[in-house]
Amino acid sequence: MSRYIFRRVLQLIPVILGASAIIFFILSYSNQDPVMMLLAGTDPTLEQIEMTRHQLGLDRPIWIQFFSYMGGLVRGDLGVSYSTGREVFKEYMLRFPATLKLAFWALFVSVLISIPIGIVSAIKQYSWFDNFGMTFAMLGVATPNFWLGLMLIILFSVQLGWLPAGGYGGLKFLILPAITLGTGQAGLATRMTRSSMLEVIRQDYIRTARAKGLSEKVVIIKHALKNALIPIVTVLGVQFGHALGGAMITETIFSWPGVGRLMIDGINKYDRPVVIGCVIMLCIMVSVVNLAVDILYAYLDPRIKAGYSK
Amino acid sequence: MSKNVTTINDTGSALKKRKKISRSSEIWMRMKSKKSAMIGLIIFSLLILVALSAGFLVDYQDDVVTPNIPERLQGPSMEHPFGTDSIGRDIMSRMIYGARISLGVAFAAVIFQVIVGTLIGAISGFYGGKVDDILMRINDVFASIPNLLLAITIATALGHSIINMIIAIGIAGTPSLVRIVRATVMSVKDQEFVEAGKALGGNDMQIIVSHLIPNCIAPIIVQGTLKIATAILATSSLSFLGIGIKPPTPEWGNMLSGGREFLRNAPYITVIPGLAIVTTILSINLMGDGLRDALDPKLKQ
Repeated sequence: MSRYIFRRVLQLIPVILGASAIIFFILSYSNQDPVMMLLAGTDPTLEQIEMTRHQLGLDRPIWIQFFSYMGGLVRGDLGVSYSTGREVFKEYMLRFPATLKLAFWALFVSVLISIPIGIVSAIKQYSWFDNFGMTFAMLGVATPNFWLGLMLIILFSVQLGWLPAGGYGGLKFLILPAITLGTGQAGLATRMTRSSMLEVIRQDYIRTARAKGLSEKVVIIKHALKNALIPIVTVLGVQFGHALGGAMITETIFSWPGVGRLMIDGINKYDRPVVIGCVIMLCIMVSVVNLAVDILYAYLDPRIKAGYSK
Repeated sequence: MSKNVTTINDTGSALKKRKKISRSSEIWMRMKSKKSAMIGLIIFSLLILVALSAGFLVDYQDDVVTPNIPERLQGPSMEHPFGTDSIGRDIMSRMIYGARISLGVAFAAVIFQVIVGTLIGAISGFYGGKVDDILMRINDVFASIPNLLLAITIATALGHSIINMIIAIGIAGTPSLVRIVRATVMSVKDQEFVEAGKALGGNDMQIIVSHLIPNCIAPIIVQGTLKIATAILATSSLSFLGIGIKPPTPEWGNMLSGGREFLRNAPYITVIPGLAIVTTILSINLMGDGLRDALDPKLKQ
């Protein structure tokens, strides 16, 4: 098992280097200039512009810039933000708790919606509840996050005045962003739960469990759901990983001070180290969650566990 | 004797003809039997019709971009069925032109994805070995960056224009299509008809184009259809974040974003473009699901 984990971590390295290189060159060959962005509104002299460019190291040839950045990266140094002058990693860690909180509660909302609806839809296939559940799932997939967020703000903040329209603080501030992000995720997860359950409940061992005289509840939860969980956990895991990397849109709508906002701000200011840093952390988050999901498989299915130790 | 030959020939061509008709009509019959797919198809066709006829329905200069301050922030009425926005432009006219932009960008981006994705996927799947390894590693790296983030970065770097949006969304959506085409090509490349093509002296390019790609058409059509929905979502998300298409050009995402300051007094500015996006994506997804079941009944659960 530990060998398996080690191998997976090693596989992550080329992905991180490759993704960093792609983002590096996309931002470097842009026709926008981070220096002008930084000095915007100050009416800088030519000397000041050159001075800043030199300080940021942007007057060096692109290949030198690339290898010096990559060199830092290999040593674990994500560089310094152009716009704030602070270390990217520190800046990221400052924002990460907010993102972690949002991602966790969104997952909670998503699980709470998708698993019960998915199970009942599968058991009562083609019933009115199934139709309702699948309509909900279709709408969940089709509704853009930003619109759902704004609709929730119109209803709960503007009309009813129950919840704040944005900001960061206690549970009150968390509800709308978590529902926005979680409902979006629930659409796909509901469909996955339904189709995975449908496959499992047709198996012979479910008939056997029923024939043994087990109660329907035990059959569904213990025998069916447990075996249907792998694809569901996979979908939830990918979504959770991406949310950990920063829910750019949800965080923007609700002025949530997470890494998604850091990323958007970085992109808007052409702050190359910040954007690459965020992308790297995002790749790490997605991979770590995927790895955790793969390890979880081993507990859900002993056959997979046997496969890992090979 | 000669009569006999003609008869055989006639039967042969008739058989051929019947088979050809039956295949496409079979797909159509299966598609037609699914109510949700037909609803999706009808709604989507209407949207395309609206987008294509936008130029006849409204006047771009007068109705769509020119401010009309005295009539600002009017709620829905007979004269303005969807109301007016913060500088008095008729929202319905802007929605109609917005359909042209949103759908147009999405279609163009998906065409880009299909061309590039099919080419890379087919080459990778056909040659295998080192070529496949290199292309797939590059593809994996692109795939490891989330779609929206990749599109945002490319759109920011290139600058705001419709062409750049198409390129950004096109590139961001390509990796998953490459995977699908590659998998399909790999599954058919060892079959007898490919061997026959080789035996007849066809070169690699001929085999890829005339034997392998036609076998990938079904998954490409299905994925392409569903990807239009993703592309519409991406276009509007980028515009919403202020990175995509800039006002005054109407696009559903930037219209929606423009209503954010008026959530209290004029919520319809935000509600209506969002409803249009949801309806469009829903119709495409229904149509795509139906198409998948119709083209490949084996996939149906």
